[in-house]
Amino acid sequence: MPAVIVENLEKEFRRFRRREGLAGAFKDLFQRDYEVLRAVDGVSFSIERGERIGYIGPNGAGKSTTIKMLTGILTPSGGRIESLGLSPHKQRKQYVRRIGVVFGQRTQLWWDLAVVESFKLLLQIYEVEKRAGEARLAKLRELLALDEFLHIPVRKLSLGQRMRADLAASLLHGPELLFLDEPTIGLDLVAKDAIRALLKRVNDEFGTTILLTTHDLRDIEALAERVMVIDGGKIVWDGRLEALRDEAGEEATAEIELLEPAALPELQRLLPQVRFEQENPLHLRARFSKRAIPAAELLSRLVGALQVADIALPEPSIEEVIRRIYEKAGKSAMVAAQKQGVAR
Amino acid sequence: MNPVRALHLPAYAGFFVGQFHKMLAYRTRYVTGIISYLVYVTTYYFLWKAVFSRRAPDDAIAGFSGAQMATYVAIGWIARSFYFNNVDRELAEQVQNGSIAVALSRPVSLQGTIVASTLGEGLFRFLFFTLPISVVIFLLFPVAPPASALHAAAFLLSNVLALAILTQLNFLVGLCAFPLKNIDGVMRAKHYLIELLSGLLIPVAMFPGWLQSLSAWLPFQAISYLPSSLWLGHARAGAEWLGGDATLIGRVLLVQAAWVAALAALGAFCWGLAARRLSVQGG
Repeated sequence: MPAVIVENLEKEFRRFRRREGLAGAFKDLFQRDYEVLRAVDGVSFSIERGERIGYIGPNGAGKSTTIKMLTGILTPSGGRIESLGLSPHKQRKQYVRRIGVVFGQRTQLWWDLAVVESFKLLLQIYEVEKRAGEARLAKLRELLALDEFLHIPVRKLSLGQRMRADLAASLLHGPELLFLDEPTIGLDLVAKDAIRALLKRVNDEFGTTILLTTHDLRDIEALAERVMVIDGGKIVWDGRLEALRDEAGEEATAEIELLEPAALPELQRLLPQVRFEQENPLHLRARFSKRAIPAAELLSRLVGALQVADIALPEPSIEEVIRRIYEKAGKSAMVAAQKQGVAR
Repeated sequence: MNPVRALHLPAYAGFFVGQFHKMLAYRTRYVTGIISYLVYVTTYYFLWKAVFSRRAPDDAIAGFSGAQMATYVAIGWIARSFYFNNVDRELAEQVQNGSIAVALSRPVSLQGTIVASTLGEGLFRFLFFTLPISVVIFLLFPVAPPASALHAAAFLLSNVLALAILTQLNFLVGLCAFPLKNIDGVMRAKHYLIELLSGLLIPVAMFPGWLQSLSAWLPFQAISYLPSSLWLGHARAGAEWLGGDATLIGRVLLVQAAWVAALAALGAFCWGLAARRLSVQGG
């Protein structure tokens, strides 16, 4: 049975819409005009135990709102969540005892207390049995290399250290599920790498199921086995990371440096399955699908037809694929909005 | 099941200790606070001294002699240095900046957490704020000792209940931040309402009759007026409904406990409403 089942999840927010001008402001005093905002609009998925999932989407897509419903903080407007056999918002206290939550932009530690004091308080608050708590803390100290700042007040930690401490804090009570909302936000590259490696080890070591949101696709590439993309409150892509990679791999680009300017129309006629873009007279970019034309064949034909100085085949990036997914979702959302407009 | 475990008391004790520690980190901030309380007491002491200056020593106003009034002012402010807290502002800030999400990711009730924290803060205030203030004020002003040792003990307990009542009131005010977001106005209104109706500035006995009757049905006088009447050892005007001096202690504590229970129940109910329409700001 999956650890988490989400069916047709919805969250609506009511937003007060101000009228314009002085007369409008006066009218607002007596009659308020609200608009309903659907942050999450019919989301369904399930999560198996031990999975590492990256949950991505542009700003305002509904990522954080979904996480806040999954952690029992927000009450859904519609649909169903069953997580660890419980209803997160209805059985919040019982439920959060078994999950860990990290908000990248906030700390759950006591700002003025030494890190180790915060840990002790958290062990007490989660009522972790003493022996088990000590063992867990010892393990986390080693895993997250906490000893260097264990006795320093949280407010004096660097952001990278604070994130490690927060990660440890979320794992002290041995959660089965770990939710992370932008855990690498604001970190430098080294600290980001450290957090990614640590999350992976936590997943290996404790079998903790991990769901994280991020804007940094390198987090996804380093960490996620599965990727869910949300946009406009709807899941627009859900699948294995490899599938995303394959999709990215199929769509390739070649950067071509020329010795002499090329005649673009002629080239296009020669290779109709390739889309050429001209950066400048001596620099071409060729976009092609590997299925339509293997890279080796493309290269040999280019070399035959042009005076080539250099050809580079940059690694296909999932960023490109994600961008296309967003664009496609954006377009369909726009179409839907237009249709709605007509219906109105 | 063991009630200590069933109520998750160890968990809440964590918040008690955490808040005490947190306050300790800011203890120097309270040195200036001692001076401001000294200013309050001095101001009201001389104000009442002026009011009583042309009266004979045994000529009382609403049952208060000049000497009793001096004690009342000093005791009232000393007690306030203990029971005061900013739970409403802190809760509103948490709602406004979204850190309420962290509070809700813990396996405890928000209301219980707040009560435990304010008790931790109360202990800090008692040791590092109220005690030094008391020493200074007892040295500078003519404060009469409590009516008896029993009254003194009851006075202490009564102020813990006053703290609980104020905390629940502040929790209710803080909850207004869920629909309103900005509650500065509500907080200011509450502040003046409590200063006045709790009896801190003017004893309830000196209120006009209709306001005394109204006060009997409100929780405010249970914050300052009733605890202070325990120190003085007399059931005062405006609280005749409490009965005679003999049963004063029991009745004051009972009335306070009832207010704690009623306000806590109201708070739990309102929290249920607020949680359903909670929207977390930022990210």
